[in-house]
Amino acid sequence: MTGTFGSLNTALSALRYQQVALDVANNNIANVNTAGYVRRRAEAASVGATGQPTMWSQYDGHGDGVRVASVDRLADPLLDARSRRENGTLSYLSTQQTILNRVETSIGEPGDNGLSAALQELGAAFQDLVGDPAGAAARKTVLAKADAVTSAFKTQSDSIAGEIADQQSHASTVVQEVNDAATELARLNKTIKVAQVNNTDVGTLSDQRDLLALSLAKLTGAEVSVQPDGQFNVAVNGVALVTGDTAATMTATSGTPVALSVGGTAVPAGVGGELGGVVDVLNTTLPAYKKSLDDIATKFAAQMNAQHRAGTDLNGNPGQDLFTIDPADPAGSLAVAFTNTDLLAASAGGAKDGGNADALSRATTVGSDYAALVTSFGSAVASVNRQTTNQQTLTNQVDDEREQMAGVNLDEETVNMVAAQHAYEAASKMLTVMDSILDTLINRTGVTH
Amino acid sequence: MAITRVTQRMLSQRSLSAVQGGLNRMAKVQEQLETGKKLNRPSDSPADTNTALRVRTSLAAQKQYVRNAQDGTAWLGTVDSALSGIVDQTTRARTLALQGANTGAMSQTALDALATEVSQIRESVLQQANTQYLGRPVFGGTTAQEIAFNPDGTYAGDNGEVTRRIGSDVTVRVDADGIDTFGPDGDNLFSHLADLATALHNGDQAAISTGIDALGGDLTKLSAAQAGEGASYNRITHASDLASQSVLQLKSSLSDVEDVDLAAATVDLQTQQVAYQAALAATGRTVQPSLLDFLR
Repeated sequence: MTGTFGSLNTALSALRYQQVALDVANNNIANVNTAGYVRRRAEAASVGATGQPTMWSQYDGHGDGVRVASVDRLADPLLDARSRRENGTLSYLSTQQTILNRVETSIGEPGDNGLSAALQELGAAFQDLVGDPAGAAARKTVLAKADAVTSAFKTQSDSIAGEIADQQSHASTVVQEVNDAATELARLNKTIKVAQVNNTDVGTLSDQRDLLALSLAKLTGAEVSVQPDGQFNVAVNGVALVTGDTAATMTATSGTPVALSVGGTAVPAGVGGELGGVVDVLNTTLPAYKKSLDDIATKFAAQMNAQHRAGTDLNGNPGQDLFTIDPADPAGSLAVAFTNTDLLAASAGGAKDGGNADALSRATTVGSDYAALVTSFGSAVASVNRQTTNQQTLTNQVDDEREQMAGVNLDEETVNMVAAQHAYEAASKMLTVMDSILDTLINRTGVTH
Repeated sequence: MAITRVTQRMLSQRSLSAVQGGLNRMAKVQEQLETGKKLNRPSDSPADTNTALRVRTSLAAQKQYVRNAQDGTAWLGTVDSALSGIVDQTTRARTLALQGANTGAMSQTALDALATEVSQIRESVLQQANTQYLGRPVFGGTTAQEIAFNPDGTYAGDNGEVTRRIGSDVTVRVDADGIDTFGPDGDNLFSHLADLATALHNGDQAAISTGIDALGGDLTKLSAAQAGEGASYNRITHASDLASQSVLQLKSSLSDVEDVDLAAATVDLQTQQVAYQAALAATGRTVQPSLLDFLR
């Protein structure tokens, strides 16, 4: 005890500390639903003997009260890193899932209106032509059904081309978001460094920086490496995006395949996050589907044309090509070559022979190729769906773990609040007692009546 | 998972994702019930999609075989009735020739009458040999002509065949070959009848006798053709029955693969509803209270 007045200081330190504790509880409660907010805890430290007692400077007190040792931000860098990684993967998968589900719906299989049905109807129309090889109605029906097949090809080809165009603009939007977030993160790196030097509380800034790092991870699967001085360096698939207070600019080439580069350095394939999902779909999944569809269209046209050429049309001339196709865009350009029904080469001999029509109805084998394509695409979508569900569960768990550490529990804060309130009341009582002691000492001691 | 510390946000997020999950599953069952299909897109079941596509292809083919068989049956029916008529008439002509061959009992006037009737029979047989089905002569192959035999009895058709596909690798001929049925030009039923009429006119017994033999040969050919048509008819009917059965079976397997089991889906929906309500109730109870309710 350093004297009676010293006790007043001890009580004062208690009042001050409890005030801070109340403030922290208050702030925690206020931010219970704030995104990215990490709960704070006021750490108390008792004030007592000096750190280094010496022979001539002895401490004969019993403690001089309390001080705020620190206001801790209860974040766990390890959990943060895990959360970023899992959220990046989830975002990669769910982006793919959304796109692939849309493409899958546009295929319209299995159903009565898809390409498969159109092929079957064309076969049936040819068989009907066998029954009435010279009949105008049967011939018109064949041409109409052939047209339906070409439009079924075109619809799918168009919908994939449309999806590719949409996703290209999606990719450039995401790149823009990445650049905005990277710039902001670099700025926060700098601000936090300055604030730390000034000994200012950086909790709020750190919350914001963590949020940005998470959003960069969701956008690109970026990895954050925390530097010894607390700065966040961000790299996208190994290429530095943010280094300290400088952010490089990410660019994406337009057109397919999409190539990403950061600050002029090419980013290798295998980017994660939303951008990775979009880029993979753009560079791999959709072109592969389009290629298979094109191959099927090319094969279909070749088989039908070869068989059609083998026949004789209504005027006795050898058959021409039934379908025209542009090798640059087979599925999109497939079209019936003529509208004159007399040119249909139904005959393999006599004028009213239907032999070639029968052969044409069986000429193409693309039905099974197409079924294989649809089935494998369906498997791919089903697999992405499954992976997304699993990843969602994993991500939820990791986020839960992070929330366990960093989240605000209202009951806990209420307890802290009540505890601080009581401590504050006790310290106030102590002041009253001190006051009363001093009153006795100063005003009553030695006073005689 | 060991939960060491639970926060209110964790609770509300978990409740939310549980409620979302419940709604999702309900939406899935609801889609099945609304569309009546459990296979709404390939990813619902890639294996079933493959089956469905294959079954649909087979189904379309089998339906077409049934149609083809019906058309073929009509062709064969036409051929058959024409052949029956021709056989009757030819038999009659042969009977007349036999009468004419009865030397001594027939006056020239009677022979002339027989000759006239044989000529008429020839006209009638020629007409029946030109029988059409849907504008095409059934004995004319794939000719574009309206007739199979010219008035002079020469063949006007071609040697094409009219066939119908009644199975993936089965075709059946549904017309009758004019040459095979009636004989080659100059040695066919029509020239035999014409020769017979001439022979009767001339009272040429030797020629009449030759005519009788020739008509006998023609009748054999016609019977052979009739037997052939009958066999084709049986084949086509049998194939048509098979294809109709296949259609039923394929429809049923397509339904197995694609269509929703209504009872199961309804029960499933009920279960999901209960689960969803439970999630809602749990949310209502866990989100509500806090320590503040109990202070003061």
